[in-house]
Amino acid sequence: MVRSKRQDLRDQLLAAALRRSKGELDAEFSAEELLVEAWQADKQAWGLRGHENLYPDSDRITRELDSRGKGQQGLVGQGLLARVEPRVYRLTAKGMAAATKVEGGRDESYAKLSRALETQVRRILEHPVFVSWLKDPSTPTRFRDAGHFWEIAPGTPARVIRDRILTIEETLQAAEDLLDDHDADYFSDPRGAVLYEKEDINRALEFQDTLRRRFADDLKMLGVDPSVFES
Amino acid sequence: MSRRGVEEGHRAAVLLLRDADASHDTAARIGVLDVGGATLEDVTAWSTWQDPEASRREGSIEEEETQGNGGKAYMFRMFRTTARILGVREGRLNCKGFEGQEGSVDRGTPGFIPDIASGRDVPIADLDMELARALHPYGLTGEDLPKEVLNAIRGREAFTLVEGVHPTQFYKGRIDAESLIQKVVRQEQSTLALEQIRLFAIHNGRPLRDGRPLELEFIDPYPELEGPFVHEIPATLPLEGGEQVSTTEGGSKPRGRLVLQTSKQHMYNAYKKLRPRWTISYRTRHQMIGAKPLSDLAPTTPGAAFIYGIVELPALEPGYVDHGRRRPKDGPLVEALDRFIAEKIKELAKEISEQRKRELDDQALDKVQEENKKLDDFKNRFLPSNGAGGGGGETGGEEEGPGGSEPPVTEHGEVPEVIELAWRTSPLRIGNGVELRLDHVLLPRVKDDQGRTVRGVELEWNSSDSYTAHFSEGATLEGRQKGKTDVWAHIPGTDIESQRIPVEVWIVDHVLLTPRNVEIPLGARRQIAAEVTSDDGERSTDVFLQWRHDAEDPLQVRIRPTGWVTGNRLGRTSVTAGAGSPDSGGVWARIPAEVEIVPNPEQPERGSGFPQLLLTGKDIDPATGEVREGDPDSPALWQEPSDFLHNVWWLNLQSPEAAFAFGQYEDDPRVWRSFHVQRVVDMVVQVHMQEEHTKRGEDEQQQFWALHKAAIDRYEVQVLQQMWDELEPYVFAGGGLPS
Repeated sequence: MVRSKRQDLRDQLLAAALRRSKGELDAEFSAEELLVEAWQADKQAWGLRGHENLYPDSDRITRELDSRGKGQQGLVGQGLLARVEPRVYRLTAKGMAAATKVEGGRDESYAKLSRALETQVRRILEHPVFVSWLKDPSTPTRFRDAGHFWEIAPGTPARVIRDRILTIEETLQAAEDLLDDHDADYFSDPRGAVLYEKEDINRALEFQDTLRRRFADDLKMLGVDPSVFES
Repeated sequence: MSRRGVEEGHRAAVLLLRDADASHDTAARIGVLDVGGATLEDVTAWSTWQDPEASRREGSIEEEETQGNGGKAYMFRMFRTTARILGVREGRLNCKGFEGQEGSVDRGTPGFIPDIASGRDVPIADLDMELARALHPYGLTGEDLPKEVLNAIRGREAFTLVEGVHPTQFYKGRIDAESLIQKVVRQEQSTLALEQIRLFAIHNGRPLRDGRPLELEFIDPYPELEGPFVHEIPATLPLEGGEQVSTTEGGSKPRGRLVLQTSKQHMYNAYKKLRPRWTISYRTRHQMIGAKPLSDLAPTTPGAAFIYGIVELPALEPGYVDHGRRRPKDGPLVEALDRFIAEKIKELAKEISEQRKRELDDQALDKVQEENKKLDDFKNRFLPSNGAGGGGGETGGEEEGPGGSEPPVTEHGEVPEVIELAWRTSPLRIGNGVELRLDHVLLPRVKDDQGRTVRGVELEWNSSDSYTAHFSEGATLEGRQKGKTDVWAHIPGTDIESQRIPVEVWIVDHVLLTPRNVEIPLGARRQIAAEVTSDDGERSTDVFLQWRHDAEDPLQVRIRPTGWVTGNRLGRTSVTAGAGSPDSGGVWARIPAEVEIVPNPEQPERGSGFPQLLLTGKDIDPATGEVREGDPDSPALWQEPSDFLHNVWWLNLQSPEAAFAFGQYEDDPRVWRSFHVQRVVDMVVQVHMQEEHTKRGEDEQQQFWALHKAAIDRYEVQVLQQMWDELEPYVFAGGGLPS
């Protein structure tokens, strides 16, 4: 398959983001830092025309990060990067998984990815609202508890609510995909300690699904169309 | 002693001792002669006070580490007249030390001896002549030295003499040579040196120990585990990250071995004689390169205090040899080697630990348990009144809460009428293959028609379908196959039965534990939820499972069948839960919970009710729901932090004194009763002491030991006077304790 130049640039940015984040899903970096990282790896691709070896071209990264309209989603639109604030980003779980594949799927890279995913999965599994639900599936009964889990509250912009809920699912999906890619029921670190297993993902996804359905009306009132989660 | 690059064959030294001689007006002297050969640089660096680098110099060779002051201080204080270092090397002599009036500042300032001209970097004509001059005050010549020392000095053309004249500690200058040598041999800092150097001793011109080098004392081995236990070191060992490291430098060096020895005595407790040797020594093909205390390798393993050893591995040289030779240098090979050593220590320690636990006679144990219950009831009258009140049981928000006796009642019932169980109506779920002490879960109470508790009633437990679940022993319910059954208790010989509790036995398909990382302050509790998925896909967090942890110290944490974990001792462990044996289809949580017990700045709350005295090997530990095993390394009257929370104390039958007294039970029960009663009195005194101090809360002050001792004595006299009148007939004849 012939790879498009666009694909190559996307992959390069993902790889640069992976390097900047050092395998941490919480790590943040600016667009400029990302650009410099990518430019240092391939000056011809990211350099200012006529001065490729001297200066990076900020226009090029803007085009790749943000959407250019219908059908041309940037990395943020594809869910590979998340915008934390204007011109500040972080790698999503989905993005990290994609970046790891771009890097050639080395054991070391997968180990970092699985560690990062394990941290996120564990946050979910240890959340008090989740634990209460395990003990009593009729809970939570109030939206504020779901909000505690999603880290949202009335007043949070609808877009942010949607992104936060989606991020949880994408993280879980990335963790599940990693297991499927390796045809495994669980993922361990190099020492053999099991980081997470399929049942963890299943339960967390079930919980997430339960919350969305149970509080669909509340989400609607906050301006979030529940059907956006069905895709 | 200096070991500066001295080859193995030359590692020898002599301890020189000379008594005072009044007829010749000479004072006693003590010296150590070795083959290092101190230079001008050495004596100059040595003579600087407060310099931790005093024994380190620039250049490729480092001296053995010292603290910079210890040797000088000894020489300054412990000798009344001259104390000096004399070094001869490369044809030059240097001598520096302390001279002058005892205690004066002058004396405290090291100088060249006898003066700069004669003591600083002086060329010598003849090594033998200088040696003879140095040895003359001891009444010796070079030929009187052990052959290997003399040969080494001549071979290296160097020697160092560190000596002091007129030692302060000996009466009329008479040195008790045997006693001094024993102290030297047992001194912690000497142990390693004695393993690395052949040290001889000469007293008044006469070689000690028949001219043989001083040796470390023989250690009596542990009976029936005499050893030595030799383990060949594999060609590769794993590191923590999973990578392998070669122990043979890729096959270029021979494999090594670990030799473990045992001691009959507890080495840590025998602080004078054995503690300095409670180590693993490291040796290459040619030399000893250091040692590590066993507490570095297997800190909390019961039984490890009876083990020491040596590891021999050629591949440690040269990369892991520190010139100080106190410890091998850190690095991947030593890291992997230490893990291997720790594993072998733990295996042997476990055998020792099992052996130390004595078998106790069952019948005697039953009788002692009965007597203990009576004594336990009896003692409550003499406890502070604040020990009473409350509902009895734990604090901490848990639904079920045994522990601590009931609040005092003015009378008990006599005739049973009903059996009450503390259980809701929902089914009791248990994993297949799990054993559960049901009395600990259901908390049966027998009451009379007026609601008063009737004590000492035996209960029998029943299951309507013993194929699904049966009582394997007493109140222990075991899930045998998937299904449902009812269980209840009844009083034999009557038709009094408890309510029937529905029981479901689940086939466990999966166990999910959360949280996965838990920090528990010492003495506090946290719950780990275990969600069980059955083979039918049903899910519940209320299924009783087996719980275990993997710390070497079994008392690190205490775990209830409901997943409540009490932090009992500082450290880390992994906690997991499951049902059945993993070897025969049992299912356990794949991902354990990592638990860390951390220091607790707050005083944990004691359980309410009167504190109970329970018996190890017989009574149930409220922290776990299982019989508490005794511990030979714990005191006879024993309380852990988790016990404090549950308001219980233990009579530890595995402690040596308790085991001895218990062993006399059949032949002379008064020996046991006397011991038992004394422990009960001790407990009452301690409860009074705790009460007196802890009720002050934040106003509790630190006090001198004398004040505490006076308080202990006061309570002991007061309590014993009250208790003894009634205890005395019990000790003599065994009966008559008022309830």
